[in-house]
Amino acid sequence: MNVIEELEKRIKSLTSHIEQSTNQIKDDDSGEKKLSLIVRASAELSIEKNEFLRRKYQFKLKKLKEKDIRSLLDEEKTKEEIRERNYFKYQAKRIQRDKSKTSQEIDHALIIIDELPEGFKLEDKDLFHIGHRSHELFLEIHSDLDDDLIEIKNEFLELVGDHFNDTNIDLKILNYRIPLLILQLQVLVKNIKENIEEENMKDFKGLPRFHDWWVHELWTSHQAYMGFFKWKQIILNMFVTAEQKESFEVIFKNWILVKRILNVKGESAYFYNNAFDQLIHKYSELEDEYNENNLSSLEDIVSKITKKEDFATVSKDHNIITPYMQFKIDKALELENGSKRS
Amino acid sequence: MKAMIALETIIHDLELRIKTAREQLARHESGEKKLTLLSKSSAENNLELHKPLVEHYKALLKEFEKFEKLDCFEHRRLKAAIERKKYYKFNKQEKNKKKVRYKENDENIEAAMIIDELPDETILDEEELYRISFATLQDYIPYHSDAKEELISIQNEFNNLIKNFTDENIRSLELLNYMIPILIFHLNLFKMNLQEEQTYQEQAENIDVSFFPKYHDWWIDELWTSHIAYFSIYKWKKDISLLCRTQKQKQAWDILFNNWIFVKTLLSEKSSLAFEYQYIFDTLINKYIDLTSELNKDVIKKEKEAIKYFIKKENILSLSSEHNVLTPYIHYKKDIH
Repeated sequence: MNVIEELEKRIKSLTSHIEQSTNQIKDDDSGEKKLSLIVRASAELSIEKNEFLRRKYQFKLKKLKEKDIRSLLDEEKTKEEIRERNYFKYQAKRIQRDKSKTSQEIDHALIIIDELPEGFKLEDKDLFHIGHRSHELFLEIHSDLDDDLIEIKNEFLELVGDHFNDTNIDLKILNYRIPLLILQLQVLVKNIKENIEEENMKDFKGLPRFHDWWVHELWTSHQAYMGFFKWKQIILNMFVTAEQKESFEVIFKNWILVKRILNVKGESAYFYNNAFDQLIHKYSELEDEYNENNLSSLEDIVSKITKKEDFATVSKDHNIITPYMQFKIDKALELENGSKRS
Repeated sequence: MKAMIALETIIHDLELRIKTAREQLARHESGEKKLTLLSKSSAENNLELHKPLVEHYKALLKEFEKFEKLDCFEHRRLKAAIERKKYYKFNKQEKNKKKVRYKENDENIEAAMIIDELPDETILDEEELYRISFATLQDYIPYHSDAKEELISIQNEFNNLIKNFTDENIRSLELLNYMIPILIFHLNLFKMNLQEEQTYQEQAENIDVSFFPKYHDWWIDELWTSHIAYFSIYKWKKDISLLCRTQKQKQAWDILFNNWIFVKTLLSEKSSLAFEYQYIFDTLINKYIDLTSELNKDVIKKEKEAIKYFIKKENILSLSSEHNVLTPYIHYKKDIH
């Protein structure tokens, strides 16, 4: 029996004694059961003594109980702290072993743990939830791509230097378009390489080279168009998914538009065009052919291909009414109806 | 911190759900739209479940804010990416293209394609814009004394028309916001120059240079996928070239054509989200230089057939008279390497 229980037992017994003596006195007072003077004096003394003792024990008990709870709480707190410390200490390991999650879900949660500031604590379920959303939004990829873009931009601006004057200052308008194009093509080329590796195909030897004269003569020699068209098809065949092919179509269009603008600008844009070519080669392994023999032999090949091509064709997705044209037709009708009403 | 962006979107989604559930219940209470027992309990359940959750995540976000501000650079750029992702996805749905095969690294290219010009980045200052407007064509076309006023007036007109767009994706068309007024200004200069030349030299030939032939929208969309589109644009470009009386005008047209098709292609890629924007561009071009697209489907079909005859007659293998596989730019590159 511990001290508290002992005390409680004593208090109980004292209370019972007090009650007994109190009842004796009550009976004596009412005349129901008269007490002798000695017995009455003894009962009164007993009440006084026992009450003193009971108060003393009650006070002791109160103190003891307080102490006991505090120590209990302290003990609990220490245990909780240890639990919490271990929870976060072994969080990454625990998450890695979580059988209820896929390996992807685990990876996404681990990425979040990595970037948490020191001392910042997130429960497992929050980590998984935030990790999942972060992945859905491509936040990790966006963050890395944005970093790459800043670097490419800086490198491009450095390469371009300060060769601008009144005749070519308009090129500056492309300062931000070009790094973007380089980045996009870089990611696509990385995709090709990964595909090749996964499917155990031959080594990637860079994108096929383009010919500068295709850019130069795009709207004057049909074969230049044909050169590009076939070149684009060869590259498209290097991709395996629709997403990659669609993206390349967009990148190709934008790349050629920029190259044309630079080409038409002529000599005053050579430095700029060269900076563009240099960086796109560095990051995306795209370059032009400037070996004259290769240029001439490929020219013959393009000419042969051109001969065989049926030019009166349209793509399988061909539609003369584009969504934008429909929008304009609707708008024209709207305007017409509006003016009729007024 | 990426976790903060993820948290913000989680909170945003939960708040939306709470709002919807509240509205449903309010409509039910007022008798405006009664819910079935099942829907009612589901709405109540939603509220009960999501309210504490949103509070929990808000508290977490506050904790995060002690370490990193919500308007820091990383936060801003990632939020911009999410915004663009919405419209990229939207455009994908618009095109309704089925993904035949999907690989995990597609996520990287999708993210790369989403990046666009950063909205809060200033590309050029006013002085540079002004210099650009006067640098591009100065070697080919004379500028009028009141050209500057005209440029400002076109810029104001364009800015007034686009200022109503609140869509982040449209506002972020930074490059085009710069290019378009300048292009319209240049095209107008070019047209006026053609008309003046005609006034002095070619009146006798009675050639009407007050308008450009109409183009077809599908040419832009299919330039690199349908051969007919290429030949149609080729012929259209050439027809306008024939209106030019001097070599310098031809060179000016080469530059303007490239810029025009650049703008049209960028806009057409942005699909329906930029329709209104593209419409403003087309309307202004039409207003200033009478250049517009053909909207009559029968005419388009007829011209598509006609171009097939043009292709038949065209010597596909012919090369331009100045053809050379070694371009002047290639010589330049060889020299510096």
